[in-house]
Amino acid sequence: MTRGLRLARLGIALVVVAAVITSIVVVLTRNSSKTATPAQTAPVSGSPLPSPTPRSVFTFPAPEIEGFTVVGVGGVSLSREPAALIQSTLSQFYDQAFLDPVTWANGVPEEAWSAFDASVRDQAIADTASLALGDTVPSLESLEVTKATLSVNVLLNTNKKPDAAFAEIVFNATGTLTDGEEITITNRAEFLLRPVSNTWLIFGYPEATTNVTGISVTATPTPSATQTGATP
Amino acid sequence: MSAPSRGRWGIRLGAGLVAALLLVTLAEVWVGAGAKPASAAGETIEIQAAHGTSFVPALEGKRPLFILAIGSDARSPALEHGRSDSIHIIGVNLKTHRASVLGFPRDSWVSIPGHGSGKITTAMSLGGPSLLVDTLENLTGITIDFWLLTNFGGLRRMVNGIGGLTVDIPIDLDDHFSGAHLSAGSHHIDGWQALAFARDRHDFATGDFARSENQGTILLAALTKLQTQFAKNPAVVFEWIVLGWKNVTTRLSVNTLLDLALTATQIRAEKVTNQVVPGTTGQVGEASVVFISSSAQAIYADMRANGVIGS
Repeated sequence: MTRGLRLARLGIALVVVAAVITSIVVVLTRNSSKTATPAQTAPVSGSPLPSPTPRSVFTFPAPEIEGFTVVGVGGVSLSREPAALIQSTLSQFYDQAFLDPVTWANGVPEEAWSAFDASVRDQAIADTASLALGDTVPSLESLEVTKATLSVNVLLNTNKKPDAAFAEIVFNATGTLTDGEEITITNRAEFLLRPVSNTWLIFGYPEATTNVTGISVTATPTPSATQTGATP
Repeated sequence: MSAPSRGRWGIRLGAGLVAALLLVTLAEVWVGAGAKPASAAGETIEIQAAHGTSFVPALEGKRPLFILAIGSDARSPALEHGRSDSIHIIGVNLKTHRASVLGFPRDSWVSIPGHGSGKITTAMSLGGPSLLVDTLENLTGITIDFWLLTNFGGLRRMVNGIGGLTVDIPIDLDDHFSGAHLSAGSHHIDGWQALAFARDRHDFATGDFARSENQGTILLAALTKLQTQFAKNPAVVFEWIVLGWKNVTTRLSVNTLLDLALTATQIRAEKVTNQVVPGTTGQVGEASVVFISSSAQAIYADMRANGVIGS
């Protein structure tokens, strides 16, 4: 082989290497730009190992409240405190059932089900696919809440104490998989809650639906989608 | 490494890189397009998982639940000591969530504990709802768990409060006593019309029996409405409870009413049996009465067993 031929081959190889590196850089740059949104972005991990940076715990925004009282008036003001406790119960459940990366690999942790009363807990676990994301998408790398709303209707008894509540939830999130593909998660739920020992537990869910939808990386998330998320 | 080896290495490196480039390009194409249908916006979407479910905590139990629904002709606060114009035992099977409504003509001639024999409508005026419960338990052998009492105004307000009811009127109604004036067929009726339909006996050949059955029809129409509204918005149950609380007299707590309402949402209205005890009309002295047939014993036994007639 002549020196000229060897140099020519080396030149072709270098061009190819440069092209490959360029392609890889393009792909990586695009993916990193999609996961760079603030707040509610779970750590880029893809593994159940603890993340290197602390994760923001999810909280539903302040709920819309309606109070139903069998005597007198003033249902809304009397419903604020129970609504806040319900917000806390449901925020914790959604954090553990949807947003915690540990859940993506290992499934919904057992402690998350403590949001449900013992009478309904086994049924809820059986209905995990409707109530939670869990490990439905094990290759999930990050997840960002794009919409989270909570409406609480409280039933007050003859002593104007809360007896029960229905909580309506709309919860949307966009996730990025390890291969760069995006998914959207859409959850709709109606929970029946009742007060138990200074907290509120879920006793039923007349509606619970969770959809996971794949979207190609060519799809551009709308700017507003990242602004309507819950507080970090 | 010899020169020829380096040459082969160079060729292999070049081929490998070309292959890698192809793979990256293919990956780009796959990620970008995938085997997915394209939406109008140019995105590609694929449903990967969709799950929906529902769980409503209805009451459960080994024995059936029996509720006595009473309509009084009195005004508040004498409601509990008026005569009962409408008397229905609602049986609910808490395993199958099936139910039956058994009506009693108000002129039914029965034994009233402590008061000899009389029209069943007088039992409540003699001893309140508890005496009516005793009378019915004595008659049927069914143990009543709860009673709910309303009156004309309460029924009217409740029907109006829930936005009216859709009821199948079996025949043309034109009765100036009750104010019922409706053609046969399906009608969306308001509180006044519901009350008139519930009171009308003159338009029906079977008089008091038909009236009792029509009252059961209104109960079932309300059940259907509750279920329709609940499916759209479960919190509507709270509106019904508040409305009921203001128009129904009961010893139940709000929590128990909620349990009952949630249970009602799980009973298929189209499968609820609506029946009136069989009997014949007759006279006792000057009074027109209904003599309940002995065949009613089989209905009581059937209902006692599992809450459902004809199961």
